[in-house]
Amino acid sequence: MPERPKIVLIGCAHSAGVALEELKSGAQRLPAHVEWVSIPCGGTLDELHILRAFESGAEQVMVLACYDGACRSVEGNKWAEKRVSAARALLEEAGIAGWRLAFHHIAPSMPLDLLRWIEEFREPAVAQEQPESSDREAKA
Amino acid sequence: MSQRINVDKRVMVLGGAPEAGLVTQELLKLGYFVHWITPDEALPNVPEDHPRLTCYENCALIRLDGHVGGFIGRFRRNGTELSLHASALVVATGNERYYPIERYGLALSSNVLTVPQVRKQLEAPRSTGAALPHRNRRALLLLDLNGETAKEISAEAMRLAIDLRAQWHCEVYVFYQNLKVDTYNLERLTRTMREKGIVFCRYSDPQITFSDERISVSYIEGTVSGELLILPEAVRPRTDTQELAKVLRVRVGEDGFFQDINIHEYRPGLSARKGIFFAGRCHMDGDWADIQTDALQAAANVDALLGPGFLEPEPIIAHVDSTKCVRCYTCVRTCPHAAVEMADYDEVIAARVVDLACRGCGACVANCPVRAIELIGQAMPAWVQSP
Repeated sequence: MPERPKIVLIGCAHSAGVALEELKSGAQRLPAHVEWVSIPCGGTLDELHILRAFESGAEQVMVLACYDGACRSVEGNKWAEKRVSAARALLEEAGIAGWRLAFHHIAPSMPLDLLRWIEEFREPAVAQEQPESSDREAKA
Repeated sequence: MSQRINVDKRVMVLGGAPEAGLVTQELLKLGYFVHWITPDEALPNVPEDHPRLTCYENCALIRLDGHVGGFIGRFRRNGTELSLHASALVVATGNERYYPIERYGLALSSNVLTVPQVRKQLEAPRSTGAALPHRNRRALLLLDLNGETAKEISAEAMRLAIDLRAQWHCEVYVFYQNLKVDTYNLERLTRTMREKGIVFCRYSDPQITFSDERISVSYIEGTVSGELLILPEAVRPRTDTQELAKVLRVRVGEDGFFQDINIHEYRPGLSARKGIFFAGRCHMDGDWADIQTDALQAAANVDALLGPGFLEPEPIIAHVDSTKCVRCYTCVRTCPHAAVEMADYDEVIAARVVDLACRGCGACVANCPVRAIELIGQAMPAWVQSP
């Protein structure tokens, strides 16, 4: 199997961080090509973090923040969402396709969704050509 | 970097709702000094002459300085100002009741009565056989006129329905559209009501018509007419909620009540600001048992914070480089926890993050236009820093 391109996950410690802990407690782990960066809240996210991640060799970046109304710091998730769309505009200006930067709302109870998102994180057109893998049935 | 700061066990309880009394009593039991302050005329069930309690009636909060561990509240009382110190603050201002009758063109009359009015009739001393005139009457209890009746009021209305059935032996119909009975008491009450033969009818847009002293209410499946229409009250946030929230620098939710910090903490009653807690009806809907529990929870929240006698900053906090700060106030406006203020650093005025109040969310860090703020204690991969 060819080595998969590096993905950087930047996520809020209160939601995505807890989801990762859940994953570990279920004896599962993130795939090797995924680097996890914990931030204390979506509000901490800076466009620079995303751009530096691409500079450091990441092919794709995924930002994870809490759902609306679930942020410990009231609207950190909204700040994160804004930063992601600003960074996406900068990336596209620099010729990097916008799909390479993804944003998801996550709750601590969603570790399997996180794995699914990572699995499905690829260029949209390519995803259609590849056959669906059968091991993707995440139990809710 | 653990700088412990000693705090005294002094708490302000704001508000004259009954739950404020419960919080006060519980805090006194736990050994706290309590300033109990209300903008209202009088305080309910004040413990008598407690050495650690001071009460202030007719006292309105006009300004709140300081942060957790050292709040300074400035109040106006009978034209004079006074300032009080406390380490934490509990808001228990309660809610406001009203009759949601305008929308349906209803007016209170001899056969359109409120729950307390009917309760009064029911409890009035009467000679034997007074229940007889009511035996053939039909009482219609109209819940949820404003969308959803508060749980406490639902419970009062349901108790009344059961008593009407028991004492007047009349038929009782309950109309509802969005009745929630997810508390122990309400569930028990609805079960008792069904056992006693009280009929529940669901409506979506009720048509209420009056003819010859009979009142008809149409619901989804038909129409019922009766002689007595009973209207429970509805609740809304107190009119001073917005103003108080502004002074306290805490959030008000979409429903107009004080808004708790989010669900991750699984601890109700925490505001976004450290050291400010909510108790009872000012931030929640529940029956009296829930409200009592919530009041105890508020006292427990205070004790969890101040109990050890000292406060410590969280492991990750923001720090401002005063030489870079351009005093744009972005951080002051952005901070969801109201932890940033302008301060004097040896002749330079710059923003300062109050360590104890900071929750380390980093909203100020990302928003600072001159990158003068950094998160201390937060590890980031090397590539984030590299140029």
